[in-house]
Amino acid sequence: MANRTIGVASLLGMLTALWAVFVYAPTEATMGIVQRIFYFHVSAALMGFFAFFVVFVSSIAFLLKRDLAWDRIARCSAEIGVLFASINLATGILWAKPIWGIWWTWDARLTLQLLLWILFVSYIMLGAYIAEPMKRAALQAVFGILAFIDVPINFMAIRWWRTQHPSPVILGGEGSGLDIDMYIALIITMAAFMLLYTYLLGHRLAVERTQEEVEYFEQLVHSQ
Amino acid sequence: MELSRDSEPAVGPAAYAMEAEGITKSYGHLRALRGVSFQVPKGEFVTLFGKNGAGKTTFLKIAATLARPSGGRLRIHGVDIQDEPERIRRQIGFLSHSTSVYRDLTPLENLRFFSRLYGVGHTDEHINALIERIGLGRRKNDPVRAFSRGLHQRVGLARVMLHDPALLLLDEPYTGLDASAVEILNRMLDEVVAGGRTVILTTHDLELGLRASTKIHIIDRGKIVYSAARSDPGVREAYARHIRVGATK
Amino acid sequence: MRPLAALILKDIAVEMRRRESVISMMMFGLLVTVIFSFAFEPSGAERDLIAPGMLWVALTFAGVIGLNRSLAIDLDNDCLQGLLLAPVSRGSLYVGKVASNFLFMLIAELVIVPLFIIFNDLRLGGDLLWLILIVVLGTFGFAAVGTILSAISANTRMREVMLPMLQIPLTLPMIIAAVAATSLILGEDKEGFGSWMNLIIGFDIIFLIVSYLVFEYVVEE
Repeated sequence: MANRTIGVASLLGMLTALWAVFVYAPTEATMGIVQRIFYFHVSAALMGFFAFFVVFVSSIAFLLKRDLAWDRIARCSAEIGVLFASINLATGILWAKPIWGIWWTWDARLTLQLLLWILFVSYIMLGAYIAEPMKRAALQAVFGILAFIDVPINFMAIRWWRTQHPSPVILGGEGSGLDIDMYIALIITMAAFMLLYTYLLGHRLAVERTQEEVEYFEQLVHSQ
Repeated sequence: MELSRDSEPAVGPAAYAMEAEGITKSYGHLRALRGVSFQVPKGEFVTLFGKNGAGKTTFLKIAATLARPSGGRLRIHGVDIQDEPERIRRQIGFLSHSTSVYRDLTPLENLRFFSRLYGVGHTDEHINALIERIGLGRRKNDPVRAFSRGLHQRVGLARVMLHDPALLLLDEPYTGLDASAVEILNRMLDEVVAGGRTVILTTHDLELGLRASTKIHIIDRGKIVYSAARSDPGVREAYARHIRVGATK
Repeated sequence: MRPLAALILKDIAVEMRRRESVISMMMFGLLVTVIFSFAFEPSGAERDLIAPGMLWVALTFAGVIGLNRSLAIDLDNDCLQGLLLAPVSRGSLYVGKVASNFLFMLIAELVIVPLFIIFNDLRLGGDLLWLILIVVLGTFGFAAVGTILSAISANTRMREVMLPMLQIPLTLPMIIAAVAATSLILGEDKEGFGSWMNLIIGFDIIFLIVSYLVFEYVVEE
């Protein structure tokens, strides 16, 4: 159905992105081949933030409409968001070791990305420990809203903190020294990731809906 | 023992104290209420019978604005509870099994706090007199923690009556009470009704439920299955059918 | 008397009877201070570098303790129900609780902070007032966020354990700002102090308002 089309598009998108990153984009002067991780790293980061934004909007929609469909979207987006945030962190580490010789540094960007990951996980854990669905949905929605508002404030705080105590910056400026070809490769990768996110979200939602139906029938059977 | 004043409570011109239309409530997959509809005219004493898990508590909580219905409408004194919840809370008193009084505080401190919170601003003299009337004069400076269930409940009842609500919602108030406590509760309820107030009470005890009520409803599996005036001859049989033996459908 | 004042007085009355919230916060703050001193054993200049972080870790964990105790009071005997039945908005109940939590944390900090200064031999000079300002504003942020989060975590199986898991990531920007501002106080160069304070104040206001608006969804069934 519609999701299958998106799935195919996403596959094509990823293949195009792989081509763009490994063939089309020029090799970076100082860092060499390893720099190519940058495209995936940044795209994953952006998708992580976007997924959180979806959680935020869905949470508000749920509190206003009281429709569990919105809660489902929020929860599934959070799970996929953790996925992208994890890819983000992993690629950051993979990049840091060969280039800088260190696994991790508390620079502004990485710290904020780690925090995003932690907020996602806290959101998911909160849901795991509440039994009743409407209550869980309401509480997760509230936390989702608070957590999302927290992100820009964190961004400012961590940025300032790091300008006062500078530490090795892994990525260099995001726009520093980016060739036009690199820009194109980046945009292609981001578009591919967006398609991937959409496909994963649709798929996860379908699985979740099926799971809820199974649980419904289970409890119907048990209450006979 | 007088808790209520003699004059009619000031409420709107509506004839009904409560009107429920198609109230549903779901907790996840569990449908606690499946469309409850009934009206309670002002001044009535309504008993809502039901087995455990039938939906009595859920319904009362919705009427008390503690829970939000999944569907349907409910009006109290003509006002929809979703429209003006604060105004409605001024007119209702709700008492459940947990008495909602602070165990570390004395009856006096508890009532003083709730009186301020509810915006009625009773003086200490008024509260002391109230405490005397519910028979707790000698214990008024003891923390509630040490009280028996019956005394506990009296403090809870006093809390409920503080703001002189026109509609009382009592959820299984007789649970855990000994004979004398039941006596006191019944006396209080009689006065309340004599003062023109409305009472909706839930219980699964037939005799206590029938004692002073004017109308009864039976709720089973989230729906009203039987309604009648208290004097209707079919009441006991309906009770036996729905509550004792239990409907198997 | 306004309902808000009534709520605060009630919490004070209960705390004076139980005497558990403020005392446990004080003890915990003191214990964390002691543990840090053993764990790091800094001296001189090192001490000034580590001290701000140590102080705010101590205050953070002490605060979590206090928040959990404070909520337990209203959960006991389902007193929360009595509060929810009052003809006041849910948001007002939230503000009342924030005020009490804020008050109790400040009282505990009246002990924790001076002891911390003494044990770490910090020189403040005339900057004591600035430190007080940072502590007051930071504590208010904790109380604002912590109150709604403790109400949320009370609904989970994990209860008290859930609170720090939710609170620490959420209050991180405020902790960063408070630690940064505190180290500026202890140092020579005060550059940037204003920005940090603005961040704390912004954090306080934003979270107070948002929590006030969404609190009803946390306490209703």
